[in-house]
Formats: sequence, C-alpha cells, structure tokens
Amino acid sequence: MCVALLVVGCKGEITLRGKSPFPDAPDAHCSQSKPGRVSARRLNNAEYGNTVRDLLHLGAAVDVSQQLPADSASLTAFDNDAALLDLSPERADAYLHAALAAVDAAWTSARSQLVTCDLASGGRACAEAALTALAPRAYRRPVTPDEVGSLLGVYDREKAGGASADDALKVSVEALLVSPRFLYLTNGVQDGVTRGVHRLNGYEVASRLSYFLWRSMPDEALFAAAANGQLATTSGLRAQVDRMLSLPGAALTSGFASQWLSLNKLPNIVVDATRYPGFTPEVRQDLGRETQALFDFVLSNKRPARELFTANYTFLNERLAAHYGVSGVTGEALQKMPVPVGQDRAGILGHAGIMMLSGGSSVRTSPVVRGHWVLAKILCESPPPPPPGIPPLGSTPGTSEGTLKQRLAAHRTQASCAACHTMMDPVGLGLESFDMVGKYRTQYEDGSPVDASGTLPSGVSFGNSRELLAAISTDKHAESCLTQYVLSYATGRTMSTADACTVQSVAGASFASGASLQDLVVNVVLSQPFQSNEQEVQ
Amino acid sequence: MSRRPLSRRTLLRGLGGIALGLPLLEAMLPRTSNAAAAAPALRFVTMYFPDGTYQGNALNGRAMGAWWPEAVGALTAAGLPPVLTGLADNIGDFSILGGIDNKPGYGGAGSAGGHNRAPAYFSTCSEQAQYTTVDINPSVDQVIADAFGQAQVFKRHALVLAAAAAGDAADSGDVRYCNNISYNNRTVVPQERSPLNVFNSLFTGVGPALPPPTRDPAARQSILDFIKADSESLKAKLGIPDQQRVDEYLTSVREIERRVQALESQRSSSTCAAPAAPPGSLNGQYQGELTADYTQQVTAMVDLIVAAFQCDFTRVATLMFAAESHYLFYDGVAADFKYQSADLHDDRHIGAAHHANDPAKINRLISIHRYEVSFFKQLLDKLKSKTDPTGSSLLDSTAVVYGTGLADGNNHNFENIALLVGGKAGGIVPGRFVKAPDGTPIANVYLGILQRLGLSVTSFGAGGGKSTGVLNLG
Repeated sequence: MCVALLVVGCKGEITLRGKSPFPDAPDAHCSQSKPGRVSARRLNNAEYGNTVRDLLHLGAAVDVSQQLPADSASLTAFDNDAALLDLSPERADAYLHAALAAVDAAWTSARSQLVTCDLASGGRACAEAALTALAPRAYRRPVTPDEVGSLLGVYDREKAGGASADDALKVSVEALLVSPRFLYLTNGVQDGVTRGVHRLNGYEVASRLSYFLWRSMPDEALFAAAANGQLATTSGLRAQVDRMLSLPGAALTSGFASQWLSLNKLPNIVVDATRYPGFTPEVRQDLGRETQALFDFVLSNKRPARELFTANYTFLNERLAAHYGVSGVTGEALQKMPVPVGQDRAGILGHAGIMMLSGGSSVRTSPVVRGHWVLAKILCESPPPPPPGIPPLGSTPGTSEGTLKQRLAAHRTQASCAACHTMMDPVGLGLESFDMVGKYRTQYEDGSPVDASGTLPSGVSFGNSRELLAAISTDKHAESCLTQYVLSYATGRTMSTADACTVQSVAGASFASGASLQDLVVNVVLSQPFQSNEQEVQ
Repeated sequence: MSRRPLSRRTLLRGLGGIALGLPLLEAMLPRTSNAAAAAPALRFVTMYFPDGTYQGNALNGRAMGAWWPEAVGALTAAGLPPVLTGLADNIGDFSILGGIDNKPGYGGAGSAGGHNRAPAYFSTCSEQAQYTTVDINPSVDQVIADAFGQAQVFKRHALVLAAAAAGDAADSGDVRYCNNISYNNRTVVPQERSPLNVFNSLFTGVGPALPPPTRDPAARQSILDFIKADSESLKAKLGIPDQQRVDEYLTSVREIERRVQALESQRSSSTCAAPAAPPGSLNGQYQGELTADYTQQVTAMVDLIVAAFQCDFTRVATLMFAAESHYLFYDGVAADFKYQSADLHDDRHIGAAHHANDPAKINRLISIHRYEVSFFKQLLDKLKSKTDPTGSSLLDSTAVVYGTGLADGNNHNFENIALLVGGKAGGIVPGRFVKAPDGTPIANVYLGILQRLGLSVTSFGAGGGKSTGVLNLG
C-alpha cells in the first residue's frame, strides 16, 4: 500500500527541462497498468450536506452538515480523498443528530414530495411505498427487497412501540440517513465483486460522476442514463459530462479549482493595511472570484486547458480594475477584459490573488516561497522542508546583505540549500514583478529596481515575468500535473507513480491540439482509474 | 423532583437550561458509595503550544535561559525564569522539567526534522511509519482515556480541543501531524474548535445551527439496531479492506450504544454546574491573525474543560493553542507581539519561532510564551477553585502537561523541550524544578504520570521515542 507519491523532490529531476518523468511509450506500458484502488469511503461534509438536501428536497439554505465535526484536511490531498475520511464515535453521534434534524426539516417543507400516498389510511403499505421510492435514491442504485424490508422493520418496531405512523416513518427515514449504504460510496456491492479488478457498473459510474462534477448525488437524468446503459458508452459519458457541467449545480470550479489553487486560503493572508490602504475585504474576495471565473470560462467555453496558463484575458469588476490599475470597468459584475497592458501577466499565474497565495509575508514577497508554491501546484514538484539547523541568511548585524537576488545566490552556494533552491529561486525571482498583493511593480519600496530575469535549471533564460510564465505554460510537467490533480479529485485518491502511464496518456490526449479543458474532464472520466477499481490491493 | 435515576436523555435535555442548578443536579449524586467510588477519580490535561521556544540566554544573562530556574529543587517566586514569572502565585501547583527530549525527532523516515511532526512526536513518543498518511500509535491522552473508559463509561471519551483553526504547514507530508496531538486507532481524533458546539454537545446534546431535537436519536434503539444489522449485511458484500472501513462506523455506533446504555443506569458522581454558554462568535476560525477575542476563545475552552471535569463528563482533555507551523500572526492579541520580518525563512513558518537570534524576535517570542502560559495559570487556578464530591480541589486529582514538541523553533531541534507538569494527581508532588538527566525521553515523564494515574503500564512510546525508565514525579 505504501507507494511513492507522484510528487518528486529535488533529486535532480529538475523541472522546466522538458524532460518528463513519465515513460516514453505510454500505450505499450498502459495496457499493463492497473486502475488502482479507492476504498469504500464516507461522504465528506460538503457532499453529505448537498446529498441530504437533494435527497430530501430541502431548501438551499438548509445544510445539516454544519453540525458535523470538521473533516480532516491535508495539504497533499483533496477533501474527498478516501484516506482522509475516517470515522469516530463523535462523528457517528453527529450523523444521528443530523439525520433527525434533516428529517424534521423535510417533514416541515417537503413531506408531500416524500410521502405521496395517504399514510393515515394507507398505513404500512404507504410507508413501504415511500421507502421504496426513497431508498434507491439514497443508496444511489436499485435496492433489494431486503434493503427496503430492513427499513420497514424500523417502521414496524416504532409502530409496535406506540409511535404514530408518521413518526414511525420519520424514524425509518432517519435510519436510512445513517445507513452505511447511504453514508459510504462503495463499489462492487451490486455485482458481488470483492476481489480483483471491478469494472464499475452504470450506477457506480453515475455516483462517481455526480460527486466529481456536482459534489452531490445523481439526479433523475443521471440515474436514467445509468439504467439505460448510456454511461457504458463513450458518447453517453461525453454527453452527460456536457449536460452536468452546464447545470447550475456544477461544482468543479468550487470543488476542484479552489482546492487545487488553495483559493480558500485567500482570506488568511495578512495584508499590511498601512502599505495597502485600499485593499478591502471586497477586493480580497474579488481576487478569488477572478481566478474561479477564468477556470469557469475555460471550462464552459471548451477552451484549451493550457489557456489557464496563457489566457491574455481575465475577469475584472470595478474594484479589481482599480486594484490592477486598469480603467474603463464599472460595476460589481466581473467582465471579460484583456489582461492589464504592460504588466507581464498571462493566465492564472498572472492573477493578483494567485501571486498573494503563492508567496510572501505582509512585509515583502518571498521568491523562495513563491517558487515552491508554483513548483508544487503547477508542476507537481514539491521540494522537501529545509533541513534542521538552517543558517539564517543575513542575520548578522552590521553586515551588508546585498540585494535579495544576491542573498539568494549566496544561499545556493551552500550545498545543503542548492539542490532545492536552484529550482525554487529562479521561478520565484522571475515573479518579483508582482508585489505582496499581486500588483505590478518595477521597483521595490526602497527604490531599487526589480530584476525579474533569470535562467532556469534547464538553461532556458527569461527576461521578465511574462517570459517565465510562457516557459512554465509550455512545460510538459504543467500538463501532467493538472491532469494528475484532476484525476486525484475525480477518483478520490492521490495518484502514485503506478499511475504515471495513465496520467501521461490522459494528459497527452487532453492537451493535444484542439482539445479543451472539458476534454480533460471527459478523458479523466474515460480513464481506467475512474472506470475501474481494484477491490483488494496488498 | 423524583429520586428515580435520570436517563441520559433527561440529563441531556435538562441541562439545556443553564438556569437549572443544583437542586436537579443533586438528584444525580450517588445515593450510596460503591466500589467504583472508592478509587479516586483522576484526571489528565495536555496543553500544547506550537512551534518550540527559545533556550538561549543571550538576552537575560541567566545560565539556564528563559525557561528554567537557576537551581533545582523547590520553586521560589523570585527564582522563576522570565517566561514563567506570571506563575508566581502558583509555585506550589506545578513543576518545571528540564533535560527532556522529544526523542522521535532525532531520526526517522522521510524528513524527520522540522515542525511537521513535532506535535505527533510529542504526544505519541513514536516515529510515524508513514509521513503522507496518518499511521501512528495512540497519544498519551488517548491511552489514558482508553484506560479510564474501561472502568467507567463517560459521556465523552476525551475532550479534544483546538483554539485556532488548523494551520498551513508549508512543508510537504501530511498536515494532520502538524495540526493534531490526539491520535487513536491509528488515526486522528477529531478536534473541536467552537466552544459553543462543545458546550451544546456536552450540556444539551445538539448543535447550534438547528432547533433542539425533540429526542436523543442516539438513544433510539431501533435505529442503532438497524445500523448494526445493515452494516453487517453490507460488510458481507465487500472485500476485506472495505469491510474495515464499514467496521470503523460499526465500532463507533457500538461505542455510542455502550455509552448511552451505561449512562442510562449511571449517576454522575460529582457536583456539576453548567458554565455560561460561550458566545457563538467564537469558532476558532482566525484568518491571518489572531484577533483580540482569542483570549476569550482559549478561556472558554479552559472553562469547558473544568466544567466537564466537575460534571464528570470526561476525565481527559487536550487543548492545542494553535497548530504547529501555523501562519497566524499574534499582532491582534497584544501590541508587543508585533514584529517585522526580514529573514528569508520567516515566511515559511511562524516568524518569531524562527527568531534567527534577532533580539527583537526573541523578545516577541518570549512575550507570546508568557501570554500562552497565562492560560496554564488559568487552568491551574480554576481547577484549584473547584472541588470534587469529596471536597478536595480538582487540581489535587489532575495531572496537567504543558509543553511544545520542538525545543528551539529556530534550530528545529528536539533536545531539552519546554515542559511543565501541574497538579497532584496520584501523589505527584509539584512545586519543584525537576532536572532529569540530559536526553531523558518525554516518554519517561508520561510513564511516570500514567503510573500515578493508576495505569498498570511499564513502557510508553515506540522506536526511538520509547521510554527508557520512569521519571518519578512524586
């Protein structure tokens, strides 16, 4: 089970060299690769809240997941990673309480949709009808008579204990909401496959699709597609992805892109109010929206995935325009605009919010941190933490520290630092044109000029930030890295070296000429790790 | 009020009204003493402050630096080291330990050094088999809670609290090792950060966002029986690894059932008063910097620990002030915590801990430590002021461990960590500077405490962190 992550450290496998860590002949190799294993996993809190709401037709404002303990978070995994989704008595207790609250809420607002017969006169038969309708949606697949029978058993027991028919049905719906068949996503149960490679059936694919693209349960159309075999065909899957991404419930941007780029961390970044008096909470929020808007646009307009890194347009409202120093944009709504002229920007790495997230304190930018961030998020190279006992740089009082660039160069002459800093520093220094809040600058606060030129380990030189961004956007690692992140999120497991072939093959198809970001989503859906599961892996 | 035993449900709902005072609660006192009551109730608290400290003496000229007295033996108010002068009124209630190492940090797989695993090393005394997923021995608090839970069922196995939201370790690996000190069953024990949520779950049994339930669903046997049968029949259709996932749930549900059943027939054995409900605005979600209400946040958690002990809802609590390697600034808490960074590595971790021997940063770090120690003092004072049914103070039956996993946050070393032990549980004798031989594993301290708490254990920790003997705190 212990497999190396597909994140390489500073082992000389230096990025931006154009050399891929993946095998050269994917087809021959891929035929032997395995789909990998995702264990049965519980819904995460976001999925749980959405699913309960959709299942019971609760209002958009009702979110019973609020009373669950927080999910574990990890820097290296998405929030739907099976490895993170553990379960404690406290959580089980919270599920019991949340189920009660959900059913109370449903009975207040949506009982007529859940109970379509007259329970008072119909009694047990009506309860059975209601549960027979609800259980397949809750378990996300056709159910057996036994499964309805055990829910009805709760009804019977409550009735026998003196409960009214209505209360007895409510308790049996509560039971349904705490059934492991509802709380867990499993594979192979219907088909009785407990070992070996299991090809997911239509309903299992439907669940994967809906939690991937919606973070919630399948809707009626998706259930129908599972039932009629549409999800077993490439064209059927393509059509569903197209349909699902076009609906209001689509959550790939908020679920995937926000986590990939850590946009939810924007509120945590300290900004020095004396330096940036105009940096309001609204601007901070807008910066996250800008990056989401670009992802949304590229996705929904079927633009090439690479455009995330190369777009010469962005999305601004009046506040953002002011932040970037651009005129001619008014109002609250984000509008598609050319990237600010003369600011060396392109794609998401040219977004001020991303430059804030990627690196720096409230005091100054940190090329090291920014380089590290870009390597990890965009190129999937993650330098390890610094070794113990780092000699502090320039901390000796009275000594001349030189420019930032000179100090970093000195850094790289120390062997213990060089391995990683030769990778991180040029990338970070190349982004020095963007200050702590992502504004463009040509000089530092002390008046010294910004020099954003440099040379990558590959020998490629760049004269400014824009040229660096261009070099990053054409690096093969950026393709495989985004692919790897999408695959991880789609399947709920971190990709490993064993998946290298799949990653390369999906990346190759998805970044080919004419392919779009949506094609990347489709190719991930069509991939072996998405379509199959190893039921047991040693 | 009738004298019939109160059910858990009644207990949960009755305590919902804070105004309900002792007349009701006295009904839960045991009518007769029993065998269990003969063994004294003992309690355990861990308080963890993140990111190590500063051991040097550059600023104060003291041979023992900022954290340790110059002489071993009885503490005197005048002899308290700079970080601890706020404890002058408590010198009889705690001891300062020296020579203690957080040993697993010495080596181990992957990138052993640094902040990332310091909390997990500190609490488990084990090297972690895997860095990128949590796979780890139980922490000391959980070992104690497991043992206490064998003899008696509590409403809470343990209170596991964090005052501030999880941090953002800049390093790779599993961030949960940074964020947690409580581990059990080879995974993380979830932390709670909202005092109001904790209050509600302890004293009313319901979360704040929703109307109070009409009944306690955990006491609904039809549902519990359904889950058990449903889980078993599902397991039969799953492969072995997936069965284990469903087993996690099944085990949890059985544990709930066990607690409910035990509480149905068990009376509370202590005087019990619900504290005032903490404000819902406190939720541990600090963005960028700790704001002025952080003091109120930690105080609310201290109060919840004391109240939970008084009501005997649990006998074990942990409180992390913030995650290791967090990015939160303390500027909002007090003016003298503000500092300006100019060092390249400051950006990666909490700036002050990486003090780079800069006097301004060291002073700021010491200011933060003195602030943190004030919560240790709060806990000692509050435990001391509350009594258990025998009339002795809760502090007499509690052991409090206060410390941090890294020694020097700047050097990322693990030798000679800052460590205090408060309380008198099981005959612990406080009021001293106990200087253990250099290199004593923290596991030896825990082993001493575990034995004082009545656990029949002979070792704690594993691998390089394993105990090599017992540090006698008596």
